[in-house]
Amino acid sequence: MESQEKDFSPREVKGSPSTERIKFMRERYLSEPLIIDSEYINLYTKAHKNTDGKNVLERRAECHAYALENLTTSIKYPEPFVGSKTRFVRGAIPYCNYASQYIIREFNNEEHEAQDKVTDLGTGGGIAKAKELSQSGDYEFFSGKFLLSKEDKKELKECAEYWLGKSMQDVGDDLWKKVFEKAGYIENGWKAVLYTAPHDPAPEGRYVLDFETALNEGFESIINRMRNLIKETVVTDYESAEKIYFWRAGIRVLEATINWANNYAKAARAEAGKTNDKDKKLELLQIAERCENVPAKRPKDFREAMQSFWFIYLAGHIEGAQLGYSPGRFDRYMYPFYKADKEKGIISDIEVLELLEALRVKMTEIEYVASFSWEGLGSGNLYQNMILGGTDEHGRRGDNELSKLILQSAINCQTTQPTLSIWYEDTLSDEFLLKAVECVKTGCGFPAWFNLKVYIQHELEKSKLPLQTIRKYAAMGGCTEPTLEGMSYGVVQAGFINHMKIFEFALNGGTDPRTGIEFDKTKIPENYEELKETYKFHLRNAIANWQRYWNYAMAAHRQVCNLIYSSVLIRDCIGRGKSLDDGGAIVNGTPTTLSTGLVNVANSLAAVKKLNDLNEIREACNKNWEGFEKLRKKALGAPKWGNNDDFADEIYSELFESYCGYVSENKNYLGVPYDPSMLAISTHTPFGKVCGASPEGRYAGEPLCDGVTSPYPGTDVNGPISVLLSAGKIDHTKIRGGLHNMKFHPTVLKGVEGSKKLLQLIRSYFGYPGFQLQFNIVDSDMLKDAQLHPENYRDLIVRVAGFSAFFVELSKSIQDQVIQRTEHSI
Amino acid sequence: MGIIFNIQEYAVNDGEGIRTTVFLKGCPLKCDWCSNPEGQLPYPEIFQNKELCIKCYKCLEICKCKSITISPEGYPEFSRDNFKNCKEKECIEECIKNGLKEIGYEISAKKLFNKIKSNYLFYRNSNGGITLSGGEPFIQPEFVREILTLAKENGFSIGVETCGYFSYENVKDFIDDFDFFYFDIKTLNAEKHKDCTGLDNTVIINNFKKLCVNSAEKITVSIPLIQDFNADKNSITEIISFCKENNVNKARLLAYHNLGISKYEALGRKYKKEFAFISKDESESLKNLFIENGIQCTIE
Ligand code: SF4
Ligand code: SF4
Repeated sequence: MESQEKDFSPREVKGSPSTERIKFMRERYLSEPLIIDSEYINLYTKAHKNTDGKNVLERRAECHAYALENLTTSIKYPEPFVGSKTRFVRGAIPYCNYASQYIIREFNNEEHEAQDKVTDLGTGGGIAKAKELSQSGDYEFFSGKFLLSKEDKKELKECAEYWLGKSMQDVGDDLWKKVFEKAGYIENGWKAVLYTAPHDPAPEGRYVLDFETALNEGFESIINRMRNLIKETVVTDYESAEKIYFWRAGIRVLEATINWANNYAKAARAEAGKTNDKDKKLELLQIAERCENVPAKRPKDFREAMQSFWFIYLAGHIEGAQLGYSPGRFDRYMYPFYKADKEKGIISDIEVLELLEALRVKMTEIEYVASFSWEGLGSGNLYQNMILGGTDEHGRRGDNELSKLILQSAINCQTTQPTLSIWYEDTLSDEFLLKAVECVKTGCGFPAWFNLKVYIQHELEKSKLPLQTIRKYAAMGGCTEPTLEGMSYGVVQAGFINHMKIFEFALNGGTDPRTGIEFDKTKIPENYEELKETYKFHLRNAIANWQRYWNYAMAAHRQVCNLIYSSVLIRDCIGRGKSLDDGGAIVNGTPTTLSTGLVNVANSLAAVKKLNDLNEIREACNKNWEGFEKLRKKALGAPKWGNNDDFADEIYSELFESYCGYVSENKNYLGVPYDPSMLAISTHTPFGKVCGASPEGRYAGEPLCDGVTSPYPGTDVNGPISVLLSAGKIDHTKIRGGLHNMKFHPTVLKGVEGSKKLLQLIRSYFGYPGFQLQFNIVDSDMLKDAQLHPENYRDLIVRVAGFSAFFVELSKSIQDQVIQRTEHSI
Repeated sequence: MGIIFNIQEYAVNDGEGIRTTVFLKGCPLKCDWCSNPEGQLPYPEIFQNKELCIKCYKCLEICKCKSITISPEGYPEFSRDNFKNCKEKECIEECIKNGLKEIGYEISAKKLFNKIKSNYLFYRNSNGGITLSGGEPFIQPEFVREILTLAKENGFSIGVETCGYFSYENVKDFIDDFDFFYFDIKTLNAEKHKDCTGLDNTVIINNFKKLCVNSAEKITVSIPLIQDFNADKNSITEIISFCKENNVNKARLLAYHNLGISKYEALGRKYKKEFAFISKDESESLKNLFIENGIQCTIE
């Protein structure tokens, strides 16, 4: 994922904000530092102190409602719609109610989690600015990249101390650490970096609200529905009484959200009163009017729908510590508003474009703070995924004029959020697909392409819902995990499992060679078969323990951080009278178990099988190949995943099947089997750092491969199609999510012809069927990086008029020339 | 059996759709500007990347045929003739820095075809297929015929890039079965041609005419634009007339670059002569000459 402050080098396609307003907003964002804002959590904590003894659901609702209603409104003129998570342009809320240990630790400047040592954070742009300001003395520096003012620091410290022992993490720890028999395994797993650090500071996300209902029905009507349900319900037992509590909690948060919107209306009116600028005054008064109407009622027009969407979306973002919380099928549920206005002739596409560009800036302004290592893993990215295209419920073409405008807004206004995706189907229109490729050509890394057919099969199998429902609501929650919009439980999961570490256990009798910690003792394998079976044994244990641990954490989540607002806006929580954590959602099979590095394990097993001398290889790995250079050359020459070579591909497929099987053996907190998934975000680097040399030829400490099916850099020597043929061999319908990165030099995609060929590539791969593709269009910065780190760019082909070569194999002076051409010739 | 030096997947500039381009090794010409010198000699060669070399001389120690000496700069230096005849080639295995590679290998048409056949879904979805390039494919006529037959049996599109210098007699039975041709016409001036490519162009011109009898509409004339050689109005106008006489109405211009230069060193050869680069304006104006004369033209 791109870091936030990346400059965009010249490409075939380069856009700029379509109006001065957006240009101003984008530049304001880029120049602002990151700041911790403790207002919300301070208000929340205050309410928590006053609500002791209340029912858990109502208490949670009251705390959030009280905080929301009392937040300082911040109108950042000239934004065309208002609402802000914090008082600052780039503020982050430290959610002490989720976890406060890491905050206290930060204040005490204590040793970070074991993984902090192996995580790198970016240091550019706004982060640099924060560093500078912190030297002025009014601010302190928090968690490596945020500013924290003196007053906020005092409040935050008090809050963090209050939540010690009460936060979700502490309540969870108190349970699992005392009763879970494998607690020691989990804690050792963190020390050895078998697992990513505890996810408690920002566990929410990977779901999409029911925007369709929320927008069209309006909150007042939803509140009335709940009031009626309360009236109609006869309390006879615990369950029926809990329903009443849930609806009361729901009414409370929706009313608070309306009040919060009204606060913005008042603030806008006040601002309007202060200005003599006629245009500004008018605009602010119109904003005020909209805020008085939505989200309480159905929006009158597209502009009001944008305001309503933003309030509905943002309120959910404020309630929980979100990561991967997503807007979903925006081009579908917003389209009726767009269409109606266009028919009436009351809005132009240029005006719509401006609103969409403003949305990009506003979504990018949201920041989050989690423990240090998790931020490094996510590169500070919030993974708000807007997915376009797909089909309607009948399987007909899903793209429309608004879909294209959304792509255009991303071309014009280059920001990291929201990340765009395409639900690919052959029926999508050419104009839309070509526009999507145009967006890829800007080099922003999106849209990513997802095969709708594969997901439909997966969901049909898992949730057994009707085909029409799946087609209509298929969306993306977070980076690459599909979910059904408005009806699924958030993919709350524990974090990632490190496959290479498990492989090391297998190779070394169950002991982690780096820390010396023993996990499950096993016999030292003597040959390929034994090694593979031992690996599977450890894999199964590592998965089961991780899943069981997380279910304890979820029990604490239910008590402390159950999402009330989101519950009300996810079907069928209201109908069932149950919150999300009590099984209110229609689909509860979304929680996944994630892992990184399976390709490295498959390559290592392939090398062991080919070289057939496990003892020598083990010794070589322990010595980091020193003195075994010739053996390493042979190991590197062994078959590798990603070359359409069955020798390696079959090993990978076998491991993949085992992984999927083991993950589904255990049930999640809601009683449904866990779903397998694989992605990497940035875990492949810290995971690789703690692992010794591996039989595939990798040196100790080198990163693992990223993605599910992306080959390890430099091992896919046959070319991009062979890679896809390998990737096409696994059954993608088995997992929820997955990704495949491809890098291209811009020359390969030149012109409309180049765009069409890219589409043909996608279509062909999806015929296998593959699940996901995303493209990096190489720029000169990346090529310079390739000069420094050739091992990561081994597969990059440069083509210039009849000549082609692997970039990293060119001599330095020729590489410099290619870099110059990349900068100037397109 | 044939000899090739590269298979390139997702070749997007060698014809319609997604293609796999196979580079055959061996070329009768030796153009001064050639950017694929590893395609010139019809046998495997050693490719030595000096940037990787740590001067450990392990290669030298293991070599039984005494084909390696040490250059004044301290790099191992290969007697190319000895290497050609060496059976073991242990030096390559011995180099742990992967600084030594053998470029070019023999392969049967069948094996080659099986390898590239697996991409069928990509060809089908894009009207793509196979392109033979080089080197000069037609100096391996039997090999080319076998690949062509296999491609046709499987319904794959297949095209060829040729420098035009080959025995027409050897290919006349099947050459018209190709779906398209990129046919190099470097200059119509025989003397200049000989000067810069080593051979005169009579054979090429005759072959072109013969091919045009049945396949003119399948031909794209391919012209490397070289300063002080053919990148001028006169030379190009001559080529245009020649195309028109033979009913060929497609052309492709490739502007000179020197990116292949490091490969010469790795192959133990000298880059004969550097030419000046062609500006975008110059190549555009030459392209326009074609278009004005009713010939489609692209620049790569
Ligand atoms: S014809 Fe082509 S391959 Fe042969 S020498 Fe000339 S440029 Fe090189
Ligand atoms: S073995 Fe490799 S690194 Fe050593 S001298 Fe020979 S070419 Fe250079």
